[in-house]
Amino acid sequence: MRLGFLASYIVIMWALLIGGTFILLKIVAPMQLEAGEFATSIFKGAIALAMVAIWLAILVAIKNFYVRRKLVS
Amino acid sequence: MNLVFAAIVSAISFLVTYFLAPPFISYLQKHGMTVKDYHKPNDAQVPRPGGPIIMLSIAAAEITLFFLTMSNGILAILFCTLIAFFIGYIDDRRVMPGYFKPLALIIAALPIVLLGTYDFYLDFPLFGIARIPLLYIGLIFAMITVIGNTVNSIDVLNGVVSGFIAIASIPLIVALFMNGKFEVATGALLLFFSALAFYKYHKFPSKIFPGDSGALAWGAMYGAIAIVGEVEFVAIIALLPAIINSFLFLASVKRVAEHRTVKARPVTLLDDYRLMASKERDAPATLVRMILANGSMSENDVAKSILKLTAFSAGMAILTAFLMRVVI
Repeated sequence: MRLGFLASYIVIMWALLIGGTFILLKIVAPMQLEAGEFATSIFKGAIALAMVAIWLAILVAIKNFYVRRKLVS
Repeated sequence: MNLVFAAIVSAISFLVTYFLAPPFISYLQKHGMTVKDYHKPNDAQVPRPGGPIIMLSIAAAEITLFFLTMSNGILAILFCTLIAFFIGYIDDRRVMPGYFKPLALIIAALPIVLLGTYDFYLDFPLFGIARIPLLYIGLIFAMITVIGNTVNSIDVLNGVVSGFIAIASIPLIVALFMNGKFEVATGALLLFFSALAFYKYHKFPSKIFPGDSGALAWGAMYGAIAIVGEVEFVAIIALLPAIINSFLFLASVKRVAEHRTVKARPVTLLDDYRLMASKERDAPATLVRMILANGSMSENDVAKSILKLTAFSAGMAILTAFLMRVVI
């Protein structure tokens, strides 16, 4: 069980990566804005960056929860 | 014929390291090129760096593979590994600032770009392929830099980085053979045998440390194989334990820094030389500290735990390689 948290963390990262590719390839990539190609690219890039930020926030929150619960006296 | 090539270069990679490491260890000891092993009693000194012997075995095998295949991809992997080795060797001989390795490793990605041994497509499991023409060039530089440093950052205990690379190479080999990329798969095979042979001398208690030169060479080579062989996603999954280690550290200290420059230590050494997680609030979170969250362990047991996690991650990477062939 010592490695239970870290193995779960690996599975969560894997799931976030797979989920991220689904959102980007199946939902975001086919989008087309009426404002033109350049605006569409900026929009898609912004969504991708926002997703990276959200994913990192999720991973940091999980890490902080575990560190507070198990490591900090 | 492909199997004969694979057998020849694998044998070169393994045997060069296996037989030349002992005299090289004696050479390093004779010339006082040793460092303190902080987790051992009596100020134990361990020869370092083992990078030259790692580079020699990889270069001998890669050059042979290049003449057997005349593949630009193999040449790009060789030059990338060589540049990363020299960057690491500078860091082995002189203490460089924290930003040196991440910045310098950008140069190591140049051979891949200059030799054009990449395409603009990123393969993903289940959901197909993305074409990212301009972004991919930037991704090549980022991948070599990040993977090189990430692998270097897992060089924390006896036997970890060599065992890590050997295990993490297996999904690459599987994915590359599945995709019919025999030349690059053979390149991954020689990386596996280089790390495996070095592990014999690096495992607990270490007779030699790879140093930054060895770890960066392995890391950059791993990244180069992933790019040239177009198995980037599988590589990322296989590297997750090392990525988690770097991520936890960066999320804790909130800057790019060498571990030695951080004052609060993540792990404390007990009188019986067992390792215990620090309870300090300011101590950075690392993979080792997380493993020790439930109590103290010996150095050897912590190293084995990291390798078990790597095997778990490698299993997930192999599953991902199979999912690459399924498109929803």
